[in-house]
Amino acid sequence: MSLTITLPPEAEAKLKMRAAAAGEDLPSYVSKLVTHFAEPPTSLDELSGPIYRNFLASGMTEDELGEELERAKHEMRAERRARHSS
Amino acid sequence: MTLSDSTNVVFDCNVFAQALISPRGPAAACVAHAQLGRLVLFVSDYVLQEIRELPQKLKPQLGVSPELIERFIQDIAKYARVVDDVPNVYTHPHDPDDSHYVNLAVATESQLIVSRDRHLLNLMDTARPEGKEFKKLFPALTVLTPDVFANQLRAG
Repeated sequence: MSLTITLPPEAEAKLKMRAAAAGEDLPSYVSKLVTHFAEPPTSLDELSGPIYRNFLASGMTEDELGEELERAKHEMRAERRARHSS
Repeated sequence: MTLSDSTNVVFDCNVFAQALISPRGPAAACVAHAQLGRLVLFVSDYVLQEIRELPQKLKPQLGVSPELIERFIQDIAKYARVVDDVPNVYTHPHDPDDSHYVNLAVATESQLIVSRDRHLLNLMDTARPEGKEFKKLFPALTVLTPDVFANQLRAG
């Protein structure tokens, strides 16, 4: 199927940049984008796969995982602040 | 708070991360509701970047790879609305890095931020000066943990 679409100049410029970064021409890149968005979201079970098994094997509770994620987030942010201030 | 498929929400980066690692937990229930279009979920480049950077700081045994995170982020874009312009209208007094989540919620007229971050959750405590100020500035904005929000979703 072929479509003709009208894009605002800013969107066109952004898409051209992204297509170039992906090493593709604009029509191919846009076609892949539209195809991607036409698909329903992937289930979290499918996306997680072995990660969920690793989590279960770790013996961590849901609360402990939450705490671990908060620790990781604040460590990541501290590093980001340090990078920006140096 | 009444929930509907027009309820605008913002999730902390860790809600996404927890949903990916534990797809049967409360954070996953929140994300799954957004996937089904039962909420209007907003993200920004800032939020997506936080999700992207997080695996570097997680325990390696969880096996969260940058490749999988990238796939997850591409999938989030299918069911969340990505906001480009987030004006800076609020600065969190104790953790300025949390401010963006409030600013994103304000920019999108969201009713809810879902987070486990104690600095954000403390904004609901009007016994604290920052909570009192927040209530005055944004009376319609609520911050809930994924557990509490998932229970509300289950209750319908």
